[in-house]
Amino acid sequence: MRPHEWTVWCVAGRRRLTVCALLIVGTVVAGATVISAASADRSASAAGGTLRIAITGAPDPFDPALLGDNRSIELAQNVYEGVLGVNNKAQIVPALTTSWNRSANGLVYTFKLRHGLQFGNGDPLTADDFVYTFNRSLSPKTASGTSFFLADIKGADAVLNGKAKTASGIRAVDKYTVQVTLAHKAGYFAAEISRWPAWVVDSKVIAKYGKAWVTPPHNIGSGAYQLTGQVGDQQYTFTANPSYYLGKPSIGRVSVSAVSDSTAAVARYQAGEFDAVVGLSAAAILQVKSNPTLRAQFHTTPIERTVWLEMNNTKPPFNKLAVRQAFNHAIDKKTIIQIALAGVGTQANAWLPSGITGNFNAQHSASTYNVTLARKLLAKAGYPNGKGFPTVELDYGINYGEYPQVYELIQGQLEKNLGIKIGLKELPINAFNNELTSPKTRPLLWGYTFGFDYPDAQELDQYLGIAGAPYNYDGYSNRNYDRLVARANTESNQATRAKLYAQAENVRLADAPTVPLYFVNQNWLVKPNVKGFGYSPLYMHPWRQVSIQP
Amino acid sequence: MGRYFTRRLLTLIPAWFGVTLLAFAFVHSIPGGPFDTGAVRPPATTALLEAHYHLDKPLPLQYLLYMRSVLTGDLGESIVQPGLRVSTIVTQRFPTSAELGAAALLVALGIGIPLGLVAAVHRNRVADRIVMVGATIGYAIPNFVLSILFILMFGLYFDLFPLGGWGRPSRVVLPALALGLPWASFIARLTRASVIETLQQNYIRTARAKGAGPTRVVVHHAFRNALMPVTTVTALLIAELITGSLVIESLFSIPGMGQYLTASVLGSDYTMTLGLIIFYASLLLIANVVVDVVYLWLDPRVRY
Repeated sequence: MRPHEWTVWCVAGRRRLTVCALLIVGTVVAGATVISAASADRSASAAGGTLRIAITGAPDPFDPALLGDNRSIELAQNVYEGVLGVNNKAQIVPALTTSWNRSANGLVYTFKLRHGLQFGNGDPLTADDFVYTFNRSLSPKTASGTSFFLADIKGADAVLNGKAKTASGIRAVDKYTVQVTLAHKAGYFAAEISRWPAWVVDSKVIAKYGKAWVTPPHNIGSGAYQLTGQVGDQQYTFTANPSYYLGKPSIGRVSVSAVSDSTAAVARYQAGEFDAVVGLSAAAILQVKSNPTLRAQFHTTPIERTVWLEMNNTKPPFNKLAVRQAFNHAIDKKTIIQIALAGVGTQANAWLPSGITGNFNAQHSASTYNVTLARKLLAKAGYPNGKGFPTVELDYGINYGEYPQVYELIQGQLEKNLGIKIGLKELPINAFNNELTSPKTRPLLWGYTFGFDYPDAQELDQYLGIAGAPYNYDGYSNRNYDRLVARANTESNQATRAKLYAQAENVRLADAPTVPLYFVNQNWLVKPNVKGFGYSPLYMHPWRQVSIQP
Repeated sequence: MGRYFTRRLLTLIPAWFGVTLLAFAFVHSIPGGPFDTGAVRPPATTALLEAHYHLDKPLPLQYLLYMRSVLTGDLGESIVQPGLRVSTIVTQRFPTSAELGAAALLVALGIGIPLGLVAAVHRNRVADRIVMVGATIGYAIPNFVLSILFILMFGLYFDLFPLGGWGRPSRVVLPALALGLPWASFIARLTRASVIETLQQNYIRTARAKGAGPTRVVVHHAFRNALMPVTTVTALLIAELITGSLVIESLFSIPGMGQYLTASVLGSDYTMTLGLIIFYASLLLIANVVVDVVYLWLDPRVRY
């Protein structure tokens, strides 16, 4: 049929008309999709001076008070800053301040702000903005999951419980001086206040745009980059802040893509779509290692996260020290790292990872691989060659793809080395954590992990270590340990604190309540012409340190 | 007919409420709450968060509070990723899942119906045998196996299509084929059976007797009536395809809704799971009504 004949056919009857209308609409929509997709491609390839990073999943919305996971925090640290920050060695350093000090009694922290600071939109940034930010993070209306980083401040309780709007311990002395008074001594407070709930936000922007302030174009911080574009939760564009106090960064634009499957991200990296890929899965690492070009562009470094095996210290058979020690010596961590983690991980023989105050020996002898000793200890506990050992089930939650293989290897090693047969139970991570919370449902043996939010031993020891701690599920209790941790927490002198945490760690390792397995390594691929890209023990290096060679 | 549709639409209301209640009950019966992520916080902070999201209240009250916000048009906000609105996910992720689903539907119908027709017309001859063997194999292979085969063959070995991602027409081809081909096999078998059955009807004999040629008989007289069962299946298929396939979405790194639904269930992100289920359910209920309308259009004998 010729065009005019089609037209005649179409208008002859209502049904035909409907069919034609649908066809036309469909064609137009399809055409528009193709054209818009093609133009998006062009704009991407035309970009110059852009750093293109692939991350493993969609980050949280960019409200510093509400951040939760590392991949969100390491992006947001480029947009927001606080009075203090952390450097590439995870040490606490001044950020928006020129200097800061702690009073002799350890209770009053005074921060001297840099002069002439401003937010990305040109709003001046003064001490009042910090007063607003700290109180906002504490407010129950904000519902921050990490408000407790600021809970040591005097009067914070009243704000947290909705009884006051402002905490009495937070004060703007003058335009450039912020003073924070604590309710009690907390030697770790500097580490806490360097983190995201204390990153300064612009009250005017939040008042004006309400909840919409977190998305571009409203989103504003004081950092080296501004979040200027967002396509769904897949594609984020950050643009250099020309008014940044350290000068405009070298790279003008950073584009971040969330790609959940890291083998797919590696393939797209090879095709030239990305300059860097971070957080490769074990499968992706194997893929990288089989290719010489990729292997040369692959990097890895330990981060402050320990993975360990936890034993129910209050119940038989793990209420016997010798059994716990036998388990510590029976597990071949090196093999686990080689096989389950594709060689990317660091053997752990202590609980506190290196780089954390108090870590004194990652090769502590209480947890080294020694089968002869392990067998001897098990026999001493009354189970020679595993005879008479009760049925034990090892539970673990799926939060890393590598876990099933890690625990299958442990199951094999315990059988081979100690003659003990254990069962494995895999659970979704939330169901697993829920099982641990009640002593009734808590298993005898389980896999656990902890990553530091702020670089201070207090976080692990206080929330997971001491007797009665909210996440002390293994039931470990030693008064000496608790006393040392309590003293280290309140001590102001950082060198003394480090010594006290080390002593506490020593006491703990001797009691062998857990089997430290490995420290997690962060890993990434980066093109050779990208300089300065990498990871500190906590996060990705700030992008202002990165440059692209032509 | 107007009265029928009014009644039909009214019955949707209790069905819709039933779905929300069931979904709410299921979501809350999963062990583990949204704050059992392993992230460390003092119990006081957890208590404050639970109060903020009404999780400290009795379940019936939580349901009523939730429904109040849904009925005022607010599907709520993620508990696990605070600040992330469910409506944002629906508006950003659903179009992708729908696009992929539509492309897969095109594959399923565009390949399935013609092949079924060919097989029916050439019944018990070589063409029929080839199509039916192909359809049986196609239906038996799960879509994740097909996906991996396609990625290996067309993505890596022949390097014809991108391995994953979204936003370009070339990226739609492999996932749409992987998602649509098993259904094309199914549609082909269904079309064949239905056309064969229709061709045995009296009115076809009448048409032949009037002197209509074989092509005219099949295309003009038999085909539309033979489409009835295919229409029923298509309606269900639309629901199946546009709601997002977790497997295909993760294998081809497509930013669809399937990943979100699964992640929210595993993370006990109550508001996110409920919001997405309610969105799907509403869509399905509407799709059912649309199918009734299409029946009416296809078969003038149908009267309501």
